[in-house]
Amino acid sequence: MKPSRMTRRQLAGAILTTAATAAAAQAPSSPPSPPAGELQDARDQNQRTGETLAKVQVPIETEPAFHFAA
Amino acid sequence: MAELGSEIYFAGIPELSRMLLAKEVTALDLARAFGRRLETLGPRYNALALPLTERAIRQAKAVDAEIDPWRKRGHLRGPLEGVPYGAKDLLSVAGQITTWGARPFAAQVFDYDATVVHKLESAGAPLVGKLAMVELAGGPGYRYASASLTGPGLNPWDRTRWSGGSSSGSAIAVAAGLVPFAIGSETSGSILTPAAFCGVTALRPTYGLVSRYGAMPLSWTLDKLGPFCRSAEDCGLVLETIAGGDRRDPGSAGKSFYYTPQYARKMSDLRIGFAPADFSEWPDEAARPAFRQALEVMRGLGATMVETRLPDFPYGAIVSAILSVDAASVFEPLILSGKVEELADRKQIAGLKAGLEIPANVYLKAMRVRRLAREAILKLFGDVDVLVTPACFGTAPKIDEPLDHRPDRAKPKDAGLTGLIPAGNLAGMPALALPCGFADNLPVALQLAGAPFTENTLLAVGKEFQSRTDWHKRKPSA
Repeated sequence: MKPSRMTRRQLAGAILTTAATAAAAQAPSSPPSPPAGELQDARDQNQRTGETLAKVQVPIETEPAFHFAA
Repeated sequence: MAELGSEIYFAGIPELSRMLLAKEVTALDLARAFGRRLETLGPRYNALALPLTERAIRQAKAVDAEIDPWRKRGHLRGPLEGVPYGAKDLLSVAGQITTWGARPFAAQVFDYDATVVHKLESAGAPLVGKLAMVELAGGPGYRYASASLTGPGLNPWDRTRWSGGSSSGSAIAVAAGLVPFAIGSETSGSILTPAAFCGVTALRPTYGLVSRYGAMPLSWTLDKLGPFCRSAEDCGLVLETIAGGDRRDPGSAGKSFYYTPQYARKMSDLRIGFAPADFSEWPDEAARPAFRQALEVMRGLGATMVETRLPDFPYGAIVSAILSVDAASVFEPLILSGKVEELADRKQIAGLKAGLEIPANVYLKAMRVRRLAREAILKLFGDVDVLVTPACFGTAPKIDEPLDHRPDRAKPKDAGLTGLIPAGNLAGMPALALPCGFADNLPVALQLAGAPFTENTLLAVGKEFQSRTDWHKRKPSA
Protein backbone atom coordinates (compact mmCIF):
# COMPACT_ATOMS: atom_id res chain seq x y z
CA MET A 1 0.00 0.00 0.00
CA LYS A 2 1.47 3.37 -0.99
CA PRO A 3 0.56 6.28 1.28
CA SER A 4 -0.25 9.43 -0.66
CA ARG A 5 0.92 12.94 0.17
CA MET A 6 -1.13 14.92 2.69
CA THR A 7 -2.44 18.42 2.28
CA ARG A 8 -1.66 20.94 5.01
CA ARG A 9 -5.30 20.83 6.09
CA GLN A 10 -5.17 17.05 6.46
CA LEU A 11 -1.93 17.30 8.41
CA ALA A 12 -3.45 19.90 10.75
CA GLY A 13 -6.45 17.62 11.21
CA ALA A 14 -4.18 14.71 12.02
CA ILE A 15 -2.30 16.68 14.65
CA LEU A 16 -5.53 17.94 16.21
CA THR A 17 -7.05 14.47 16.19
CA THR A 18 -3.96 13.00 17.77
CA ALA A 19 -3.83 15.67 20.46
CA ALA A 20 -7.52 15.36 21.24
CA THR A 21 -7.53 11.61 21.41
CA ALA A 22 -4.40 11.50 23.52
CA ALA A 23 -6.06 13.86 25.98
CA ALA A 24 -9.11 11.62 26.01
CA ALA A 25 -7.15 8.63 27.20
CA GLN A 26 -8.32 7.95 30.71
CA ALA A 27 -6.04 5.19 31.87
CA PRO A 28 -2.31 5.55 32.38
CA SER A 29 -0.24 4.35 29.48
CA SER A 30 1.73 1.20 30.13
CA PRO A 31 4.36 1.83 32.76
CA PRO A 32 7.87 2.16 31.41
CA SER A 33 9.98 -0.90 31.97
CA PRO A 34 13.56 -1.67 31.07
CA PRO A 35 13.46 -2.27 27.29
CA ALA A 36 16.17 -4.91 27.58
CA GLY A 37 14.04 -6.85 30.07
CA GLU A 38 10.94 -6.65 27.87
CA LEU A 39 12.92 -7.73 24.84
CA GLN A 40 14.43 -10.65 26.72
CA ASP A 41 10.95 -11.68 27.89
CA ALA A 42 9.77 -11.66 24.27
CA ARG A 43 12.80 -13.69 23.17
CA ASP A 44 12.20 -16.19 25.98
CA GLN A 45 8.58 -16.51 24.90
CA ASN A 46 9.66 -17.18 21.32
CA GLN A 47 12.14 -19.76 22.58
CA ARG A 48 9.37 -21.56 24.48
CA THR A 49 7.15 -21.42 21.39
CA GLY A 50 9.91 -23.02 19.30
CA GLU A 51 10.43 -25.74 21.90
CA THR A 52 6.71 -26.50 22.01
CA LEU A 53 6.53 -26.80 18.24
CA ALA A 54 9.68 -28.93 18.11
CA LYS A 55 7.90 -31.61 20.15
CA VAL A 56 5.23 -32.10 17.46
CA GLN A 57 6.05 -34.91 15.03
CA VAL A 58 5.34 -33.93 11.43
CA PRO A 59 5.34 -36.44 8.54
CA ILE A 60 8.01 -35.56 5.99
CA GLU A 61 5.44 -35.05 3.23
CA THR A 62 3.60 -32.34 5.18
CA GLU A 63 3.97 -29.00 3.40
CA PRO A 64 3.55 -25.64 5.14
CA ALA A 65 -0.01 -24.30 5.15
CA PHE A 66 0.48 -21.52 2.64
CA HIS A 67 -0.44 -21.65 -0.97
CA PHE A 68 1.53 -20.84 -4.09
CA ALA A 69 0.32 -21.33 -7.64
CA ALA A 70 2.40 -20.64 -10.74
CA MET B 1 -34.74 16.72 9.88
CA ALA B 2 -37.39 14.39 11.26
CA GLU B 3 -37.52 14.04 15.04
CA LEU B 4 -36.04 10.63 15.79
CA GLY B 5 -36.86 8.71 18.95
CA SER B 6 -34.00 7.32 21.00
CA GLU B 7 -35.12 3.74 20.24
CA ILE B 8 -33.90 4.18 16.67
CA TYR B 9 -30.29 4.04 17.87
CA PHE B 10 -30.80 0.41 18.88
CA ALA B 11 -32.96 -0.64 15.92
CA GLY B 12 -31.83 -3.54 13.76
CA ILE B 13 -31.11 -3.24 10.07
CA PRO B 14 -34.50 -4.62 8.86
CA GLU B 15 -36.34 -2.08 11.06
CA LEU B 16 -34.25 0.83 9.75
CA SER B 17 -34.86 -0.42 6.22
CA ARG B 18 -38.60 -0.61 6.87
CA MET B 19 -38.61 2.96 8.18
CA LEU B 20 -36.74 4.18 5.11
CA LEU B 21 -39.13 2.36 2.79
CA ALA B 22 -42.15 3.82 4.63
CA LYS B 23 -40.65 7.34 4.46
CA GLU B 24 -40.69 7.54 8.25
CA VAL B 25 -37.06 8.64 7.98
CA THR B 26 -34.66 9.56 5.20
CA ALA B 27 -31.10 8.38 4.72
CA LEU B 28 -30.07 11.94 5.53
CA ASP B 29 -31.93 11.81 8.87
CA LEU B 30 -30.08 8.63 9.81
CA ALA B 31 -26.65 9.83 8.68
CA ARG B 32 -27.02 13.09 10.63
CA ALA B 33 -28.43 11.43 13.74
CA PHE B 34 -25.89 8.62 13.97
CA GLY B 35 -23.01 10.85 12.84
CA ARG B 36 -23.72 13.39 15.57
CA ARG B 37 -24.29 10.71 18.17
CA LEU B 38 -20.98 9.06 17.28
CA GLU B 39 -19.18 12.42 17.44
CA THR B 40 -20.79 13.30 20.78
CA LEU B 41 -20.64 9.97 22.62
CA GLY B 42 -17.78 8.21 20.83
CA PRO B 43 -15.04 10.11 22.73
CA ARG B 44 -16.77 9.19 26.02
CA TYR B 45 -15.72 5.58 25.35
CA ASN B 46 -12.51 6.32 23.38
CA ALA B 47 -14.34 4.69 20.48
CA LEU B 48 -13.92 7.31 17.77
CA ALA B 49 -10.82 7.60 15.59
CA LEU B 50 -12.14 9.98 12.94
CA PRO B 51 -15.63 11.46 12.45
CA LEU B 52 -16.87 11.39 8.86
CA THR B 53 -20.34 12.89 9.33
CA GLU B 54 -20.08 15.39 6.48
CA ARG B 55 -18.93 12.65 4.10
CA ALA B 56 -21.81 10.45 5.30
CA ILE B 57 -24.29 13.28 4.74
CA ARG B 58 -23.13 13.60 1.12
CA GLN B 59 -23.52 9.84 0.66
CA ALA B 60 -26.97 9.92 2.29
CA LYS B 61 -28.18 12.75 0.04
CA ALA B 62 -27.15 10.68 -2.99
CA VAL B 63 -29.12 7.72 -1.61
CA ASP B 64 -32.21 9.86 -0.97
CA ALA B 65 -32.02 11.24 -4.51
CA GLU B 66 -32.37 7.76 -5.96
CA ILE B 67 -34.60 6.03 -3.42
CA ASP B 68 -38.11 6.95 -4.61
CA PRO B 69 -38.22 4.72 -7.73
CA TRP B 70 -37.27 1.81 -5.46
CA ARG B 71 -39.97 2.72 -2.94
CA LYS B 72 -42.51 2.52 -5.75
CA ARG B 73 -41.39 -1.04 -6.40
CA GLY B 74 -42.08 -1.86 -2.76
CA HIS B 75 -38.50 -2.50 -1.68
CA LEU B 76 -35.19 -0.74 -1.44
CA ARG B 77 -32.16 -1.40 -3.65
CA GLY B 78 -30.63 -3.54 -0.90
CA PRO B 79 -30.89 -4.16 2.84
CA LEU B 80 -28.15 -1.67 3.76
CA GLU B 81 -29.34 1.23 1.62
CA GLY B 82 -29.33 4.35 3.79
CA VAL B 83 -28.14 2.46 6.90
CA PRO B 84 -25.08 4.19 8.45
CA TYR B 85 -22.05 2.29 9.73
CA GLY B 86 -18.59 2.68 11.22
CA ALA B 87 -15.30 1.07 10.14
CA LYS B 88 -12.30 0.00 12.18
CA ASP B 89 -9.47 2.42 11.54
CA LEU B 90 -7.38 -0.18 9.76
CA LEU B 91 -9.51 0.19 6.62
CA SER B 92 -8.39 2.76 4.10
CA VAL B 93 -10.82 5.45 3.00
CA ALA B 94 -9.52 7.58 0.15
CA GLY B 95 -8.22 10.94 1.30
CA GLN B 96 -8.95 10.30 4.98
CA ILE B 97 -6.51 9.63 7.80
CA THR B 98 -6.05 5.93 8.56
CA THR B 99 -3.98 5.55 11.75
CA TRP B 100 -4.05 1.78 12.34
CA GLY B 101 -4.51 2.91 15.96
CA ALA B 102 -0.80 3.72 16.20
CA ARG B 103 1.08 6.97 16.74
CA PRO B 104 3.71 6.32 14.02
CA PHE B 105 0.86 6.25 11.47
CA ALA B 106 -1.16 9.16 12.92
CA ALA B 107 -0.94 11.17 9.69
CA GLN B 108 -1.21 8.31 7.17
CA VAL B 109 -3.53 8.85 4.20
CA PHE B 110 -4.30 6.45 1.36
CA ASP B 111 -5.71 7.46 -2.01
CA TYR B 112 -8.07 4.52 -2.42
CA ASP B 113 -10.93 2.82 -0.58
CA ALA B 114 -10.66 -0.62 0.97
CA THR B 115 -12.82 -3.12 -0.92
CA VAL B 116 -15.31 -3.44 1.96
CA VAL B 117 -15.67 0.35 2.14
CA HIS B 118 -16.26 0.45 -1.61
CA LYS B 119 -18.80 -2.38 -1.45
CA LEU B 120 -20.71 -0.73 1.39
CA GLU B 121 -20.71 2.60 -0.43
CA SER B 122 -22.07 0.87 -3.54
CA ALA B 123 -24.79 -0.66 -1.36
CA GLY B 124 -25.79 2.82 -0.17
CA ALA B 125 -24.49 2.59 3.42
CA PRO B 126 -23.07 5.94 4.59
CA LEU B 127 -19.81 5.72 6.56
CA VAL B 128 -20.20 7.97 9.63
CA GLY B 129 -16.78 7.41 11.20
CA LYS B 130 -13.55 5.48 11.58
CA LEU B 131 -13.53 3.53 14.84
CA ALA B 132 -10.77 3.14 17.40
CA MET B 133 -8.61 0.04 17.66
CA VAL B 134 -5.69 -1.42 19.54
CA GLU B 135 -2.50 -0.22 17.86
CA LEU B 136 -1.53 -2.36 14.87
CA ALA B 137 -4.47 -4.64 15.74
CA GLY B 138 -2.51 -5.90 18.71
CA GLY B 139 0.53 -7.01 16.72
CA PRO B 140 2.21 -9.97 18.39
CA GLY B 141 0.68 -9.11 21.78
CA TYR B 142 0.17 -6.22 24.22
CA ARG B 143 -0.04 -5.88 27.97
CA TYR B 144 -2.41 -2.97 28.62
CA ALA B 145 -5.80 -1.81 27.36
CA SER B 146 -4.15 1.58 26.79
CA ALA B 147 -2.23 0.14 23.81
CA SER B 148 -3.98 2.51 21.41
CA LEU B 149 -3.59 5.97 19.94
CA THR B 150 -7.06 6.79 21.27
CA GLY B 151 -6.58 5.39 24.77
CA PRO B 152 -8.20 2.27 26.23
CA GLY B 153 -11.56 1.26 24.78
CA LEU B 154 -14.06 1.86 27.60
CA ASN B 155 -16.86 -0.66 27.96
CA PRO B 156 -20.36 0.87 27.50
CA TRP B 157 -21.65 -1.41 30.29
CA ASP B 158 -19.07 -0.10 32.77
CA ARG B 159 -16.50 2.46 31.78
CA THR B 160 -14.02 1.19 34.36
CA ARG B 161 -13.81 -1.99 32.28
CA TRP B 162 -12.08 -2.62 28.97
CA SER B 163 -14.04 -3.06 25.76
CA GLY B 164 -11.81 -5.84 24.52
CA GLY B 165 -9.71 -5.57 21.40
CA SER B 166 -8.40 -5.13 18.92
CA SER B 167 -11.69 -4.08 17.28
CA SER B 168 -12.51 -1.95 20.34
CA GLY B 169 -14.35 0.92 18.71
CA SER B 170 -16.40 -1.38 16.47
CA ALA B 171 -17.80 -3.29 19.46
CA ILE B 172 -18.30 -0.17 21.59
CA ALA B 173 -20.05 1.78 18.85
CA VAL B 174 -22.61 -0.97 18.23
CA ALA B 175 -23.15 -1.67 21.95
CA ALA B 176 -23.69 2.01 22.78
CA GLY B 177 -26.04 2.61 19.84
CA LEU B 178 -23.60 4.91 18.04
CA VAL B 179 -23.92 3.03 14.74
CA PRO B 180 -26.31 0.29 13.55
CA PHE B 181 -23.37 -1.88 12.50
CA ALA B 182 -19.60 -1.73 12.22
CA ILE B 183 -16.76 -3.52 10.47
CA GLY B 184 -13.89 -5.00 12.47
CA SER B 185 -11.10 -7.46 11.91
CA GLU B 186 -9.77 -10.61 13.51
CA THR B 187 -6.39 -12.30 13.29
CA SER B 188 -6.92 -14.34 16.45
CA GLY B 189 -9.71 -13.11 18.71
CA SER B 190 -10.09 -9.46 17.72
CA ILE B 191 -13.75 -9.79 16.70
CA LEU B 192 -14.97 -12.42 19.16
CA THR B 193 -13.37 -10.94 22.29
CA PRO B 194 -14.67 -7.36 22.07
CA ALA B 195 -18.07 -8.62 20.90
CA ALA B 196 -18.27 -10.83 24.01
CA PHE B 197 -17.12 -8.11 26.42
CA CYS B 198 -19.47 -5.49 24.96
CA GLY B 199 -22.52 -7.74 24.50
CA VAL B 200 -22.97 -7.48 20.73
CA THR B 201 -23.40 -10.06 17.99
CA ALA B 202 -20.46 -10.37 15.61
CA LEU B 203 -19.32 -12.67 12.85
CA ARG B 204 -15.79 -13.76 11.97
CA PRO B 205 -16.18 -15.00 8.39
CA THR B 206 -14.30 -17.86 6.77
CA TYR B 207 -10.77 -16.83 5.75
CA GLY B 208 -10.86 -15.46 2.21
CA LEU B 209 -14.61 -14.80 2.05
CA VAL B 210 -14.25 -11.02 2.60
CA SER B 211 -11.55 -9.15 0.72
CA ARG B 212 -8.77 -7.68 2.85
CA TYR B 213 -7.70 -5.25 0.13
CA GLY B 214 -7.12 -1.87 1.75
CA ALA B 215 -6.94 -3.31 5.27
CA MET B 216 -3.80 -3.15 7.39
CA PRO B 217 -2.01 -6.50 7.05
CA LEU B 218 -0.96 -8.21 10.27
CA SER B 219 -0.75 -11.89 9.32
CA TRP B 220 -1.48 -12.77 5.69
CA THR B 221 -2.96 -16.22 6.28
CA LEU B 222 -4.94 -15.28 9.39
CA ASP B 223 -6.47 -11.80 8.82
CA LYS B 224 -10.27 -11.61 8.34
CA LEU B 225 -12.80 -8.74 8.22
CA GLY B 226 -16.28 -9.12 9.67
CA PRO B 227 -19.39 -7.33 10.96
CA PHE B 228 -20.46 -6.26 14.46
CA CYS B 229 -24.25 -6.01 14.63
CA ARG B 230 -27.37 -6.17 16.85
CA SER B 231 -28.33 -9.69 15.80
CA ALA B 232 -27.30 -12.76 13.84
CA GLU B 233 -29.75 -11.73 11.12
CA ASP B 234 -28.05 -8.34 10.74
CA CYS B 235 -24.66 -10.10 10.49
CA GLY B 236 -26.02 -12.13 7.57
CA LEU B 237 -27.25 -9.03 5.77
CA VAL B 238 -23.91 -7.23 6.17
CA LEU B 239 -21.86 -10.29 5.23
CA GLU B 240 -23.85 -10.73 2.02
CA THR B 241 -22.85 -7.20 1.06
CA ILE B 242 -19.15 -7.31 1.94
CA ALA B 243 -18.31 -10.88 0.85
CA GLY B 244 -17.05 -11.78 -2.61
CA GLY B 245 -13.98 -12.57 -4.65
CA ASP B 246 -11.34 -9.91 -5.20
CA ARG B 247 -8.24 -10.32 -7.37
CA ARG B 248 -6.49 -7.62 -5.33
CA ASP B 249 -6.54 -9.92 -2.28
CA PRO B 250 -4.22 -12.91 -2.83
CA GLY B 251 -6.06 -14.78 -0.06
CA SER B 252 -9.49 -14.29 -1.61
CA ALA B 253 -11.49 -17.50 -1.90
CA GLY B 254 -13.29 -16.12 -4.95
CA LYS B 255 -16.66 -16.95 -3.40
CA SER B 256 -19.78 -14.88 -2.77
CA PHE B 257 -22.14 -15.27 0.16
CA TYR B 258 -25.92 -15.18 0.01
CA TYR B 259 -27.77 -14.94 3.30
CA THR B 260 -30.51 -17.54 2.92
CA PRO B 261 -32.40 -18.01 6.20
CA GLN B 262 -35.34 -19.33 4.17
CA TYR B 263 -33.24 -22.37 3.25
CA ALA B 264 -31.76 -22.93 6.72
CA ARG B 265 -31.47 -26.53 7.81
CA LYS B 266 -33.94 -27.64 10.44
CA MET B 267 -32.51 -27.48 13.94
CA SER B 268 -33.50 -31.12 14.37
CA ASP B 269 -31.15 -32.03 11.51
CA LEU B 270 -28.13 -30.42 13.16
CA ARG B 271 -25.54 -31.84 15.53
CA ILE B 272 -23.99 -29.34 17.94
CA GLY B 273 -20.69 -30.25 19.60
CA PHE B 274 -19.86 -29.05 23.08
CA ALA B 275 -17.63 -29.95 26.04
CA PRO B 276 -19.31 -29.92 29.48
CA ALA B 277 -16.12 -28.63 31.16
CA ASP B 278 -16.32 -25.45 29.06
CA PHE B 279 -19.55 -24.55 30.84
CA SER B 280 -19.02 -25.93 34.35
CA GLU B 281 -15.27 -25.79 35.08
CA TRP B 282 -13.47 -23.29 32.85
CA PRO B 283 -15.62 -20.15 33.28
CA ASP B 284 -15.10 -17.71 36.12
CA GLU B 285 -17.38 -18.58 39.05
CA ALA B 286 -19.66 -15.59 38.47
CA ALA B 287 -20.16 -16.43 34.80
CA ARG B 288 -21.05 -20.10 35.22
CA PRO B 289 -24.81 -19.64 35.81
CA ALA B 290 -25.17 -17.60 32.62
CA PHE B 291 -23.23 -20.13 30.55
CA ARG B 292 -25.12 -23.10 32.01
CA GLN B 293 -28.42 -21.39 31.25
CA ALA B 294 -27.26 -20.60 27.71
CA LEU B 295 -26.32 -24.24 27.19
CA GLU B 296 -29.84 -25.23 28.27
CA VAL B 297 -31.32 -22.84 25.71
CA MET B 298 -29.02 -24.38 23.11
CA ARG B 299 -30.22 -27.86 24.09
CA GLY B 300 -33.80 -26.65 23.67
CA LEU B 301 -33.31 -25.70 20.02
CA GLY B 302 -33.95 -29.30 18.98
CA ALA B 303 -30.50 -30.11 17.61
CA THR B 304 -28.64 -33.21 18.75
CA MET B 305 -26.05 -32.21 21.36
CA VAL B 306 -22.81 -34.17 21.07
CA GLU B 307 -19.94 -34.15 23.54
CA THR B 308 -16.69 -33.47 21.72
CA ARG B 309 -13.08 -32.28 22.14
CA LEU B 310 -10.62 -30.38 20.01
CA PRO B 311 -7.76 -32.45 18.62
CA ASP B 312 -4.63 -32.07 20.74
CA PHE B 313 -2.35 -29.46 19.14
CA PRO B 314 -0.43 -26.49 20.60
CA TYR B 315 -2.76 -23.97 18.94
CA GLY B 316 -1.47 -20.99 20.92
CA ALA B 317 2.14 -21.69 20.00
CA ILE B 318 1.29 -22.15 16.31
CA VAL B 319 -0.58 -18.83 16.15
CA SER B 320 2.15 -17.09 18.14
CA ALA B 321 4.94 -18.18 15.79
CA ILE B 322 3.04 -17.35 12.60
CA LEU B 323 1.67 -14.03 13.81
CA SER B 324 4.96 -12.86 15.35
CA VAL B 325 6.95 -13.51 12.17
CA ASP B 326 4.30 -12.08 9.83
CA ALA B 327 3.85 -8.95 11.96
CA ALA B 328 7.61 -8.41 12.24
CA SER B 329 7.91 -8.70 8.46
CA VAL B 330 4.96 -6.36 7.78
CA PHE B 331 6.36 -3.76 10.18
CA GLU B 332 10.08 -4.32 9.55
CA PRO B 333 10.53 -0.76 8.21
CA LEU B 334 8.83 0.58 11.37
CA ILE B 335 11.10 -1.52 13.58
CA LEU B 336 14.35 -0.71 11.76
CA SER B 337 13.55 3.02 11.60
CA GLY B 338 13.23 3.18 15.38
CA LYS B 339 9.72 4.63 15.10
CA VAL B 340 8.42 1.44 16.69
CA GLU B 341 9.37 3.09 20.00
CA GLU B 342 6.45 5.51 19.47
CA LEU B 343 3.96 2.71 20.10
CA ALA B 344 2.12 2.91 23.42
CA ASP B 345 2.74 -0.62 24.70
CA ARG B 346 6.24 -1.80 25.68
CA LYS B 347 5.29 -5.46 25.30
CA GLN B 348 4.18 -4.91 21.72
CA ILE B 349 7.39 -3.03 20.89
CA ALA B 350 9.47 -5.89 22.30
CA GLY B 351 7.34 -8.53 20.56
CA LEU B 352 7.75 -6.86 17.16
CA LYS B 353 11.53 -6.60 17.59
CA ALA B 354 11.87 -10.18 18.80
CA GLY B 355 9.71 -11.39 15.92
CA LEU B 356 12.50 -10.46 13.49
CA GLU B 357 14.75 -12.99 15.22
CA ILE B 358 12.51 -16.08 15.02
CA PRO B 359 14.32 -18.67 12.88
CA ALA B 360 12.80 -19.76 9.58
CA ASN B 361 12.66 -23.38 10.75
CA VAL B 362 10.36 -22.42 13.65
CA TYR B 363 8.03 -20.50 11.32
CA LEU B 364 7.93 -23.33 8.81
CA LYS B 365 7.36 -25.90 11.54
CA ALA B 366 4.42 -23.83 12.76
CA MET B 367 2.98 -23.72 9.24
CA ARG B 368 3.45 -27.47 8.80
CA VAL B 369 1.85 -28.29 12.16
CA ARG B 370 -0.94 -25.91 11.19
CA ARG B 371 -1.75 -28.05 8.17
CA LEU B 372 -2.03 -31.15 10.38
CA ALA B 373 -4.14 -29.25 12.92
CA ARG B 374 -6.47 -27.95 10.22
CA GLU B 375 -7.01 -31.44 8.81
CA ALA B 376 -7.74 -32.85 12.26
CA ILE B 377 -10.16 -30.01 13.11
CA LEU B 378 -12.04 -30.35 9.84
CA LYS B 379 -12.48 -34.06 10.53
CA LEU B 380 -14.50 -33.04 13.59
CA PHE B 381 -17.10 -31.63 11.26
CA GLY B 382 -17.84 -35.12 10.01
CA ASP B 383 -19.45 -35.68 13.42
CA VAL B 384 -20.89 -32.25 14.20
CA ASP B 385 -22.16 -29.23 12.26
CA VAL B 386 -21.49 -26.56 14.86
CA LEU B 387 -19.25 -26.22 17.92
CA VAL B 388 -20.43 -24.15 20.88
CA THR B 389 -18.36 -22.84 23.79
CA PRO B 390 -18.08 -19.62 25.81
CA ALA B 391 -16.45 -16.90 23.69
CA CYS B 392 -14.48 -15.80 26.79
CA PHE B 393 -14.58 -17.49 30.18
CA GLY B 394 -14.98 -14.28 32.13
CA THR B 395 -16.14 -10.70 31.84
CA ALA B 396 -14.24 -7.64 30.68
CA PRO B 397 -11.12 -6.87 32.76
CA LYS B 398 -10.53 -3.52 34.46
CA ILE B 399 -8.91 -1.01 32.13
CA ASP B 400 -5.66 -0.73 34.11
CA GLU B 401 -5.30 -4.48 34.72
CA PRO B 402 -2.37 -6.20 32.94
CA LEU B 403 -4.02 -8.33 30.27
CA ASP B 404 -1.40 -11.06 30.43
CA HIS B 405 -1.73 -11.57 34.19
CA ARG B 406 -5.30 -12.68 34.86
CA PRO B 407 -5.82 -14.23 38.32
CA ASP B 408 -4.22 -17.65 38.62
CA ARG B 409 -6.43 -20.62 39.37
CA ALA B 410 -6.06 -24.32 38.82
CA LYS B 411 -6.79 -25.33 35.24
CA PRO B 412 -9.36 -28.10 34.77
CA LYS B 413 -7.93 -31.36 33.43
CA ASP B 414 -10.39 -31.52 30.55
CA ALA B 415 -9.26 -29.03 27.87
CA GLY B 416 -12.67 -29.23 26.15
CA LEU B 417 -12.86 -26.66 23.35
CA THR B 418 -10.74 -24.07 25.16
CA GLY B 419 -8.39 -23.52 22.23
CA LEU B 420 -11.22 -22.82 19.80
CA ILE B 421 -10.30 -19.18 19.07
CA PRO B 422 -6.71 -19.89 17.91
CA ALA B 423 -7.76 -23.27 16.43
CA GLY B 424 -10.64 -21.70 14.50
CA ASN B 425 -8.41 -18.94 13.15
CA LEU B 426 -5.70 -21.40 12.12
CA ALA B 427 -8.27 -23.51 10.25
CA GLY B 428 -9.91 -20.47 8.63
CA MET B 429 -13.26 -21.34 10.24
CA PRO B 430 -16.19 -18.92 10.64
CA ALA B 431 -17.44 -18.09 14.12
CA LEU B 432 -20.34 -16.15 15.58
CA ALA B 433 -20.33 -14.34 18.95
CA LEU B 434 -23.76 -14.43 20.61
CA PRO B 435 -24.56 -12.48 23.81
CA CYS B 436 -25.90 -15.04 26.29
CA GLY B 437 -26.28 -13.37 29.68
CA PHE B 438 -24.57 -11.29 32.35
CA ALA B 439 -22.14 -11.82 35.21
CA ASP B 440 -21.41 -9.00 37.66
CA ASN B 441 -23.59 -6.77 35.43
CA LEU B 442 -21.26 -7.32 32.48
CA PRO B 443 -22.11 -9.26 29.30
CA VAL B 444 -20.87 -12.74 28.48
CA ALA B 445 -21.25 -14.53 25.17
CA LEU B 446 -21.20 -17.85 23.40
CA GLN B 447 -19.06 -18.66 20.41
CA LEU B 448 -20.51 -20.80 17.62
CA ALA B 449 -17.95 -22.14 15.13
CA GLY B 450 -18.35 -24.21 11.99
CA ALA B 451 -16.49 -25.64 9.02
CA PRO B 452 -15.33 -23.15 6.37
CA PHE B 453 -18.17 -21.54 4.38
CA THR B 454 -20.95 -22.68 6.73
CA GLU B 455 -21.91 -19.15 7.78
CA ASN B 456 -25.58 -19.75 6.94
CA THR B 457 -25.71 -22.64 9.41
CA LEU B 458 -24.09 -20.59 12.19
CA LEU B 459 -26.43 -17.68 11.49
CA ALA B 460 -29.46 -19.98 11.53
CA VAL B 461 -28.50 -21.40 14.94
CA GLY B 462 -27.73 -17.88 16.17
CA LYS B 463 -31.06 -16.56 14.92
CA GLU B 464 -32.94 -19.41 16.58
CA PHE B 465 -31.07 -18.80 19.87
CA GLN B 466 -31.90 -15.08 19.66
CA SER B 467 -35.58 -15.84 18.99
CA ARG B 468 -35.64 -17.50 22.44
CA THR B 469 -33.51 -14.97 24.36
CA ASP B 470 -33.30 -11.22 24.59
CA TRP B 471 -29.67 -10.75 25.67
CA HIS B 472 -28.82 -9.17 22.32
CA LYS B 473 -31.54 -6.56 22.86
CA ARG B 474 -30.24 -5.29 26.21
CA LYS B 475 -28.96 -1.70 26.25
CA PRO B 476 -26.18 -0.35 28.46
CA SER B 477 -26.86 2.67 30.64
CA ALA B 478 -23.23 3.59 31.40
